[in-house]
Amino acid sequence: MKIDIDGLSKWYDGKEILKELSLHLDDVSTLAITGPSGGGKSTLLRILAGLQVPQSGSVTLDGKKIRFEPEALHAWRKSIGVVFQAYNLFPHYSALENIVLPMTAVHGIPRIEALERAYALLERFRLMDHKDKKPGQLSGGQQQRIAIARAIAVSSGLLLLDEPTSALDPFMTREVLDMLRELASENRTLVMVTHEIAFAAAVCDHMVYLEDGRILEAGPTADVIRATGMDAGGGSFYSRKD
Amino acid sequence: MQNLVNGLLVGSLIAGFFILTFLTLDYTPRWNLLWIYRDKVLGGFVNTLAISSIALVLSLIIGLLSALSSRSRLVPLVTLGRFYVGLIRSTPLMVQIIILFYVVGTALHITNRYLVGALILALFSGAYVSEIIRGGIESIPASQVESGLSLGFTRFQLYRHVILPQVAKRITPGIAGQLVSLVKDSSLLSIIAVSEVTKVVQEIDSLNYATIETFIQLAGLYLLITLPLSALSKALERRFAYEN
Repeated sequence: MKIDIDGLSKWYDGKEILKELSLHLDDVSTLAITGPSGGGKSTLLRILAGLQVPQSGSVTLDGKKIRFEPEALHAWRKSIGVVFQAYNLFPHYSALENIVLPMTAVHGIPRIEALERAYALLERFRLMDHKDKKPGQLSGGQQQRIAIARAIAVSSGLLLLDEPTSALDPFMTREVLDMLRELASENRTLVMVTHEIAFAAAVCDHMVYLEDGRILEAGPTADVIRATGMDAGGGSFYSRKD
Repeated sequence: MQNLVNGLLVGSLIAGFFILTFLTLDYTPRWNLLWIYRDKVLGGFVNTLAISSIALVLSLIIGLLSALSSRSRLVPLVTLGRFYVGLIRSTPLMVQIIILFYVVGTALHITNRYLVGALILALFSGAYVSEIIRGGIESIPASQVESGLSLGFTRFQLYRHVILPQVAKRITPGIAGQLVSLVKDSSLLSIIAVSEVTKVVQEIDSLNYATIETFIQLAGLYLLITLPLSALSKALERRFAYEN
């Protein structure tokens, strides 16, 4: 994916979160957005997800500009997948229904077909045993994997993740990152805000380092890690390199 | 079983207290009066049930609309909802009944007391239902709304599939309590001569001067409606607790 962001600004209550942020990257398959907390990472991801509207600037993905009018944004949100830190799932539906509902209610897919797709995803990510459980009966890691399955069930190509493992313990983090690693190897673009530098180093081809509303470094992951002096080996449980 | 025993114990203690106080009075109670006028009483009881049922359904609709309007993006709707809830909740029901019946009812040429009575009760109860529903909606975490929007739900779809089903479960006990209040509040319609059960008992009393006996039995008649409602509410609460 080709990413072109120009002069993106966002502020609330007089506080400037993104300061004329610009970014140009070619051939992105998996992008990690890193940087200190409060630097604007989540805001940038929410703008990409069509959940927030910037005060100025433009975002163009593969030559297609995101239009920030309500109807265009709605269509845009329907076309992509988003996973947040936690509490993504609707607590009153089973895992299976959580995946099926957006397909039937939002995309008008016939229920039989939606069920087939949901079963295929549950099978693939070894979640079949949990299909009838409510989110409250699932571990945090299982909930996130269901949330990711739900997001990719309806999105064609782009999957945005906002610190998907920050609320999880190291074991659950690993099961979620394994799933993301598998998705990254497909023809699918992943953009994730993450503090899992080791994971990003192993899986993401590109990285952005965001601090104080501006991009300080952007480019191939290894270059950004070297330039910022981040430690890809330590500081994280997930350091498997293969 | 233990609950039943406890209930019986407490019930007989309270009944015993009242019987003892009765015995200290130099008074011969006549407990058969409501039975003598049973046709009238039954008619009043049915009217109370009918008015309460209509008012219940209407108050749920009014309450839902009012709660949704308070969450609307249209400022006049928000103001209207707040004004309605504020006005109704801060004035006595009796005042509302008199003004709405004699002024508004007359102006709009609605002369059927039963219809006006049910409408007034619905308006009154709707304000409380509205606050219960609004509280329920606000208890749904913002993260669920964001998740829903990110999946492409419209606001309508979000309310229909995500917010309202959860709100319905959470507010059931509150709504059932409000329903019990509504049944009791219907007794005030007697002031505009609606022949509900309280009005009928007042009439029997005015002919026979037996206020205490007739009103104690009247309380029993209300319990016939409100106790099953309370039991139903508890059963629903338990069921929803298991489901979650």
